[in-house]
Amino acid sequence: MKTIQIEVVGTGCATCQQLHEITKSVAAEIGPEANVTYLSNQDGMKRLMELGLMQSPALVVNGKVAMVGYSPSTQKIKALILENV
Amino acid sequence: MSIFSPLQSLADWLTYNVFSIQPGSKLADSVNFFIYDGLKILLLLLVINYTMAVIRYYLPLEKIRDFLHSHKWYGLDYLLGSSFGAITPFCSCSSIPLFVGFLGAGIPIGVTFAFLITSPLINEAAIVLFIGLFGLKITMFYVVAGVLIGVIGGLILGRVNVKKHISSDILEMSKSAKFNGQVFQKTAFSRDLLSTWWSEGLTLTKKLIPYVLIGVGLGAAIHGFVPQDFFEHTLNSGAWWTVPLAVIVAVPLYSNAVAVIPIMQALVSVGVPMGTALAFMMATVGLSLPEALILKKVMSIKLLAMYFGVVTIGIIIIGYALNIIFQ
Repeated sequence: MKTIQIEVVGTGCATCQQLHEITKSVAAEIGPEANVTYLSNQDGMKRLMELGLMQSPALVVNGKVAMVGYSPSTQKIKALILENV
Repeated sequence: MSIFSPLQSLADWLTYNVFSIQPGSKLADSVNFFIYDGLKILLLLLVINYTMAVIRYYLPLEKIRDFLHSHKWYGLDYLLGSSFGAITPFCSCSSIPLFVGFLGAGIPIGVTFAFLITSPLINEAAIVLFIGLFGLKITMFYVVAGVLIGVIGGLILGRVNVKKHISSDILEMSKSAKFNGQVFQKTAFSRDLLSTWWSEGLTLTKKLIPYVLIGVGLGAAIHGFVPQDFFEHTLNSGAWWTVPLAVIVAVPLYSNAVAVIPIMQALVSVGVPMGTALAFMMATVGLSLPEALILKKVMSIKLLAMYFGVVTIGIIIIGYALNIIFQ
């Protein structure tokens, strides 16, 4: 199966970290093909600008912006990831 | 307001019949206030947070940036920046990306400041609470005043030398900022969207519950236990120094608007003049130390001090103005 590149991009804030934790658990549910990277602080900022975004955190799936902002729902995040593959 | 009268009946029933507290006692007043205000505010929040989820979906910050970037505005952009700040909810952890994104799109720094100033001062939840607790007239005043502080503050701060006061890393980064991009793929309207908005609004409301309880709790205590004319006697309510004092007291109290507004209402009910109470509320939400710490990463201390200075003076003027109008 093709790998799914998931990025959690943020400025290093608390909600960004929470989203990273949730996304990691969702990725584990999806399987080994789901790969999560976490970009924060300077790197996160650079990535946000590249994507043309101004809000943090953002969830990016295979280079596509899947969600901006935060959601605590693992179901929703899972659906967003699978939609954007 | 009559649509809330069932809530008042419920609060009365709970206070006097269920808890059997002596009507007219201090405790009864406090408990009644707590139940009625708490329920009313939560109900209003549920409605407004749903609406906010809809607004956020159709009007994300990125769209506002592209809109501001797309035309020549001849100064109208300050008013637009400030008004968008009022209607667009954003979390303070987005302050830096917002700043860089606006600069990168060539939006004047003054317009960016107009947005940053108004954003915490006015928000939809606060507007709804104002209408519910103070009526339309005061709400209008609050909204116009907040937008004005943003516009004038933006015009003043827009005169600074950007290269001198904004960190060079940030300026460099803003050059690579993309904009005018279709970053979102919008799905067509469906029932799913309605439930997404509902759960988003519900999550936000749940998050605000502790703030509401603390705010209404303190408000109830003030309402019940502080004598009606306490502030009139001790503060000599009309004294000129009460407004700056309210602002100074408020700065270290960083809080959510939703928590401060019930306290503000209680202060008014025990004799604090409206303008002084509004200045207290605006300073609590608009001048926050956590926000300052975040913005320090972007700009010089001098600019940050100017930003706070301008907003402080604006709030004090508004406080005086309201006190004079509603004397």
